[in-house]
Amino acid sequence: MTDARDSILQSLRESSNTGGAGTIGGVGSDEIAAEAQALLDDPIAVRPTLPSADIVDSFITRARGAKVGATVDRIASMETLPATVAAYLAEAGERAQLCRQPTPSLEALDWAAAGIDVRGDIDDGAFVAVALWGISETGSVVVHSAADQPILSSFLCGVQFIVLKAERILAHLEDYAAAVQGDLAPRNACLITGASGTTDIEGSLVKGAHGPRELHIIIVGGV
Amino acid sequence: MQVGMTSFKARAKSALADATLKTAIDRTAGNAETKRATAVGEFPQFDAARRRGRKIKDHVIANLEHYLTQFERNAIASGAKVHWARTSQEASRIVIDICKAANAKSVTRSKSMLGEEIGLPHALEAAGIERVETDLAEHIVQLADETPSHIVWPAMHKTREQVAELFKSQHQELPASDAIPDLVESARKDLRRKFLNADVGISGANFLIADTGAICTVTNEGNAELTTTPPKVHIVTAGIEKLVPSLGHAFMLLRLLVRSATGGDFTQYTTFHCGPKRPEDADGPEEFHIVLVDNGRTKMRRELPEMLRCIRCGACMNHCVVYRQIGGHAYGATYPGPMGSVLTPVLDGLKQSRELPHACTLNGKCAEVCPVEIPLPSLLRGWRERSWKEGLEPVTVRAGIGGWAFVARRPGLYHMATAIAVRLMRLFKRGGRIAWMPFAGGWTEYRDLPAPPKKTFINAYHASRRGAKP
Ligand code: SF4
Repeated sequence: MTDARDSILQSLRESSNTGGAGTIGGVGSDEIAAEAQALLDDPIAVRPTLPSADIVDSFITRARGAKVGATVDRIASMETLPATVAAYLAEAGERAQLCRQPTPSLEALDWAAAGIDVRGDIDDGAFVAVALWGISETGSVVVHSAADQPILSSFLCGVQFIVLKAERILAHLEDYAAAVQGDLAPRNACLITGASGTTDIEGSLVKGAHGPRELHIIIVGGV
Repeated sequence: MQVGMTSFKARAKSALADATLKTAIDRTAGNAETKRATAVGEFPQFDAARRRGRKIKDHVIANLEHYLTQFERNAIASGAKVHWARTSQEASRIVIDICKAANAKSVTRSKSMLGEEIGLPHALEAAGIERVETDLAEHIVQLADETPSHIVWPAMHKTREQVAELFKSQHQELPASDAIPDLVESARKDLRRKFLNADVGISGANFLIADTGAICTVTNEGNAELTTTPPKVHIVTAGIEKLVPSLGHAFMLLRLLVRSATGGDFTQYTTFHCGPKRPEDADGPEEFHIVLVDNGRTKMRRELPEMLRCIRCGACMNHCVVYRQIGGHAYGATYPGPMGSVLTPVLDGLKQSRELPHACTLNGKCAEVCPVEIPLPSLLRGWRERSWKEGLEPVTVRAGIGGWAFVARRPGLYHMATAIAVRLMRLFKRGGRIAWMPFAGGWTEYRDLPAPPKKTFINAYHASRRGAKP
């Protein structure tokens, strides 16, 4: 497809040189980079303000808000995670079964003691994973694909538990961009902001379109 | 897609006579309009964000060659294969060739208007490959053997009763009732199996991130990730205008896109896809292809650069009085509503689509809500003038337009004329709607026109400018 590539780029070059509306010809990469950087200046002027001065409180307000519709629990340490998950499942009338992200911090916990049967197969059931970050502005949690983070599990489960360390909560979307700047981008970086929803039939919101029907976020620490 | 054989007038007329259609559109578009207003009201920085968004898009369009080559370099470094297509045929052929090379029998698709634009549904069928639309609305449209009627809600023209009929006749797992949650559940069961059995997953891209080579998809359903993760091959088709310099720029535009499209603050699933599965990854496709599509965009950059700012939010159609009356299908093109009437003449030629730029009251509502400040009414006027200059208008229209063009080219007169027209229209108003007006029989025969606001858009715009701090 070299032909198509060349002809598209050639045609862009030609229209730049004519100096048509909205085009500037012959600008160097450094100048372009400087201009792009300037477009990120003064982010405060162009982003929403947080609902509270406290980042964690803001996260909780946004995540629980109608637009995200998640539920949020706070616990002091990872040890109480299985009991918290068990209590949620019991209250929701779900079976005490769970698939967990294959990561040491979750594998180290005593799930059986909380009466939870850990399973290998997701099949519309519950899934628990640890998020890398939270973002207060939007109430989002972030997961990156990795050896111990299968992406599909987050989309096949019916009930999604996300564990989020309080100190990993960032204020704004830009703060996440800054946190990953310069890192090798993962295959998938997913910003998850609520359960799977659809408004495709008459604009009315239904949860559980293809993926999770419920998203429960458990914030650990910082209490 | 080509503009259909019947005339726009004929299609619009039959759409106007369809009461069910009007109900369906009002339910969704009305909802979208209210939700957008609330979301924008809760974001006092919206106007500043819009100006910034527009500048980001203008910067990218001005430096498109730079960003395309930077993106290509980084995408290749991530293990992606990058393809270039000048036309829709070229783009479709590339996709089909990749599918054939992968021995694909079944392909899942995550909603992409570019895919519609390049005729991918048809190309897949012609190649004998099973196509599974995974976005709920696209699934409905596929079952009905139709095309999308809106760029964000492709099934906006369907009422829940009509969806229930389709699901009852075509799903294995029948919906428990006609209630919307039961309909959604029935589709969930029907589609889940198909996600896991697909050989290739095809998505579009809302953004292409130049400095990482990643592509961004946004959905509320999570169907993009279900489409792109299980199959061996993920193909992305994207217009070359989708570039942004970095993640930070994408976020600025996402704030505008989501609020303008659905009235949400952020989509449920915002995912950046960068290359194929890494050796250590738990899952993901083995091949990752990106098809960069021109299809008129380099030409548009010369002639209509503002239109390349479009982030496909659909707000202009939700707020368009004409779209709200006739729906998307009457436009007979891939992209309906105000943005479609600007794009279609580029994609399909002005000769076939010259009626579309006329399907506009120039009330300015679309430009008012556009999150990247595209001057849609003046672009539409541009097409009208061009159609007139190129002699494409029929003689009767030419006689009328002659007077209009004379006035339109003189801004002072134009404002006076529209102000007079507004006052005249108000004379015929009955309780906020216009039930009858001379010379508008074809329109008011079926529908009441909304009465115009006291001021024209331009009046109101200048008034607000005068009031605004510099
Ligand atoms: S023209 Fe503006 S309002 Fe219409 S879809 Fe494009 S970005 Fe949205």
